[in-house]
Amino acid sequence: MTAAERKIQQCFDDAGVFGHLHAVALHDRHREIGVLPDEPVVLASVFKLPLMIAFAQMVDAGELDPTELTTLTPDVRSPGPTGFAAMADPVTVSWRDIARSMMTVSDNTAADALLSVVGLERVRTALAGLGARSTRVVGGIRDLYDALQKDFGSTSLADAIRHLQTVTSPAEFAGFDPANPHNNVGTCRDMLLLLEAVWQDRAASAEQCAFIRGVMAQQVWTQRLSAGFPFDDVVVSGKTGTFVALRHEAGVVEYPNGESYAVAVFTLSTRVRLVLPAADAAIAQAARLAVAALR
Amino acid sequence: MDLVRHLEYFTTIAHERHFGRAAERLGIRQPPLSQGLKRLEAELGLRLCERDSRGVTLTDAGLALLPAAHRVLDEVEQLRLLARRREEPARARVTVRIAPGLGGAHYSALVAACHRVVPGADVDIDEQSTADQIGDLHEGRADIGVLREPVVARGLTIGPQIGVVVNCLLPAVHPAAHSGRVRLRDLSGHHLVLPPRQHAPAAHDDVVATCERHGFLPESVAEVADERLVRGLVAAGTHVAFTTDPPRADGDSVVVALDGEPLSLLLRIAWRGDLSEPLADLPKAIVRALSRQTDSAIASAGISAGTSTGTRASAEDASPAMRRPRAVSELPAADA
Repeated sequence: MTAAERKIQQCFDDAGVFGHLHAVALHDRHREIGVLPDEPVVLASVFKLPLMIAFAQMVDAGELDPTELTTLTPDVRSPGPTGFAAMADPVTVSWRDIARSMMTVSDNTAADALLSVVGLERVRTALAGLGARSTRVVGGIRDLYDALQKDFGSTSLADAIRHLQTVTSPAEFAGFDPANPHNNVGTCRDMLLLLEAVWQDRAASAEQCAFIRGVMAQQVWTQRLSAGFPFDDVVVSGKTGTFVALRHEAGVVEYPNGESYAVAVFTLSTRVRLVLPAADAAIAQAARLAVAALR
Repeated sequence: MDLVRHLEYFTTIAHERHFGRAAERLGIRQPPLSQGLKRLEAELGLRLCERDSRGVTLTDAGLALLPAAHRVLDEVEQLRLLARRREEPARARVTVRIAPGLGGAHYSALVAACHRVVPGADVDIDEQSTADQIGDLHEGRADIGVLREPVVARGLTIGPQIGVVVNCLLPAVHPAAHSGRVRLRDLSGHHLVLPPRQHAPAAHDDVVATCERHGFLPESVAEVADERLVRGLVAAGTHVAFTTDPPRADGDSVVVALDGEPLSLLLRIAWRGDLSEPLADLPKAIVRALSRQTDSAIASAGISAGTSTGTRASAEDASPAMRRPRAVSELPAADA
């Protein structure tokens, strides 16, 4: 372990989380730093990144018109706290704005709607095509909620969430276990393969890659990667993943001189809490330490 | 010759300064003792003792060699003890490491629990930081650890969680000192003394967050390890601290209960691999021992009253209508 890796590990220890990190300099691929970058972790909403790439490839193939409108009615919408998932009335919106809502506010309704047209098979093909062999996507948000309900023997999602908030260790919930085949899992290294391909116009057409980058820069959350680089002239694009004990972000930090760094940080807290600012701050600090070591 | 036996003769004579009493202590007669000493002197080529009418005095050579003789005999004693321990496997050794924060009564209950589970065992109990415990458990230097949450450890078996209720150490001059109960918000205006953050960073931050959650934003947080200094600062009237000691009303600092039990010392029992008999029963016994000390301790092997921030809120916190939580998790609100 290098001194920088030790510092990053210490930052995770300090926050009381299991941490994983991988960072590479995109303008100089030889420089990288990692803390358990190859250990699989349950992805939570980070799975929306490969789904986004699969959507872009589908558009490139002419199989879906991104400007075509579709209507999301409340009765079929997957629940969630943001975006269309949090709204009361039917929403008519284009596929590309559904994708935008999925990426910028981690909209669960948008993700499941997009997954229903893209399909798991295209997501798997996209992952395999980009060499992300340790990443497995087996379902969407609704599948996750169904598993959660089944796990606690609950008749409603609300009841399952109340149960989940009383567990004293993440080991008590199979949804946090990367070995469970029903979970979407991936590694920090794989997320960087995806980001690198998006930033080098290899994940899809140049036009679609630019669309993905633009949407990722519009993400609203600032408490993780963004908090590590609080400068007007530094652009941080990313996709978070948050599911009770899981707090992640995978993104790219771009400086005006052309330096750019892809960083993925995954954390699993042993405290099952909805609010844990120390874990968010640890993601920012770990990313800051990693990028400083690569500059 | 039997050097060890003869050294024993020599050190006994040196101690008693009298052949008769030395022989008596060794359980032999005087003539073999005298002969033994002579043989040792011949072996070493030195006179060790002078005998006269008043008793025995050591020669310069005898004085010089005496410490070495004691060392040899001590080592032989150690050797025999080790051999005995090996031939009596029943005399087990139980090594338990505990994160700081518990009081004397907790420790006596813990030792008693170990003795009940492993009768006749040598019980080795000591305080150790959570990080050090993780290392010692991995390397087999400790059998069982009682660690401070959050425990972030790979490759250990994670056992039950225990919550020990935390009380407040308050200056005797504080208005609430003699009511036996204080609300966290009533501590406002005081400085808070906590153990050094580096001992348990995440747990330290949780305690400060819980204070804020319940209306106590300390003037400052002082990090002090020494308990006497903590009591002194509190007695001086400017500081408050937390303790797992039971309430007491005497002295210039008092211990009172915190209203609604907002704070608990959350501990987690952990070990490496599977515990072999009879140690397998120890985790449960430790939970029972620590729970008995505080009636309201949360002890569980799975379901607990949860985290230290807010979930065990007092009645006053339940009054505002439950609103949807902030979008911090990609989960819908529990009332959806």
